[in-house]
Amino acid sequence: MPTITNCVEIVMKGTLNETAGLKNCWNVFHYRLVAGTMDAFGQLLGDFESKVYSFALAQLSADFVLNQMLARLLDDATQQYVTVTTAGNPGGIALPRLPGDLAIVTPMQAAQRGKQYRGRKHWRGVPSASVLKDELTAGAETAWLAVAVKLQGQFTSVTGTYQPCVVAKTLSQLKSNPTTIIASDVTSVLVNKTIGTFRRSKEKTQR
Amino acid sequence: MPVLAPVVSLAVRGLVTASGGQIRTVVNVFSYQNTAGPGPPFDLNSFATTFHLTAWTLVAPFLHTDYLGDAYIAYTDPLLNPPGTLTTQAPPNGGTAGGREPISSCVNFWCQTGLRGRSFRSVKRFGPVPTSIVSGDELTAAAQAAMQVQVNKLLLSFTTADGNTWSPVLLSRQLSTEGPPAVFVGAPLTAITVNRTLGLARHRRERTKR
Repeated sequence: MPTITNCVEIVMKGTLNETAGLKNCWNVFHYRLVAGTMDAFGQLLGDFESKVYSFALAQLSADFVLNQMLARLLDDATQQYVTVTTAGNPGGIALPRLPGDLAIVTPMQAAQRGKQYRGRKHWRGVPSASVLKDELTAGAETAWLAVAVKLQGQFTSVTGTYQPCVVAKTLSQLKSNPTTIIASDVTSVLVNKTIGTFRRSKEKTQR
Repeated sequence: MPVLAPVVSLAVRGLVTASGGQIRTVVNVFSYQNTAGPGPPFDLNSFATTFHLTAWTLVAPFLHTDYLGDAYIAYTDPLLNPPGTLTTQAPPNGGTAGGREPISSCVNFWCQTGLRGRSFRSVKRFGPVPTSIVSGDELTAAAQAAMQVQVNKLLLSFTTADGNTWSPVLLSRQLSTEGPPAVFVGAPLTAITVNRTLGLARHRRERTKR
């Protein structure tokens, strides 16, 4: 099993505005250091936001707002998250939007076989303008394919270069030191044309 | 357990073409018990036609025009497998044009009875939903109110041409037993509420395309 070190977990915390209140939306990313030295996490988060995440945010509904970014090193089980609070960056496409339990799905594939080495991101706050019935419009699909390129590629901060990877949470041992991180580098990020579902994010039933 | 008089279940089958060309089947099942009249054998064509005229025709206009009514299928023993009895009546098509939400998005009709427990409540998933009646995660207030008026008609009893009277029930498939003779366990419907929040019917979702 492929073991890695210098693996950073990045959590992007946002909210989706619903009638019943604000729904928390989290996206978790894993990157490993492939060149240079580890950056300060504040710097790393800023660069991740500007060089990767902002491209996805630009394709989401204005009802989605990015509030916080968090990072921690998985190698040290005792390390706490470093938090950076944003000014509240909204998605780039105007309302209306689809219900919050529908999502754009970007599956992530790695070189290794098996469920542990596949991942996917669910992007909630889907603008109605990006969708025609059950699928993304051709324009939105093109835009999301460009986002997928950003998600797949390495990004460079001030002192280090980082490669996206899929961490096998059940195969890894991350709860106590010394940790064992089983992961595989992302080799491709796809875009599902069909709109996916994300039941956890459904608005509490209003009658 | 409350045992019902003879029950007929009517499956309303519609077809929706997904964006990618796949044809998805959308089925809603309604059960009625025979409360008065000469009893079996039942005229299932008349049953379907009466249900069509008194109930479903009033609700279907809220569906998107992508919904094409295909068939009413009647089951005199609701626990039997398909095909059931294909009736001569055809359901109406959806009546609202314009954009629509993905097929997996639906309006939930919350069905209640006078009895407690999971076997005595249910949900009907109504879709495809036109975009014009949706705002964010919810139905617009006007659409919810208009739909509720028509959905209340699903609670009414009706009499078919053969003289039998039918009233809507919630049939517990888990507690009922297959016949012959079938034992129908359930309870009369007391309320159907249109949920403002849109629901999910993941099984109707278009198969993933990349």
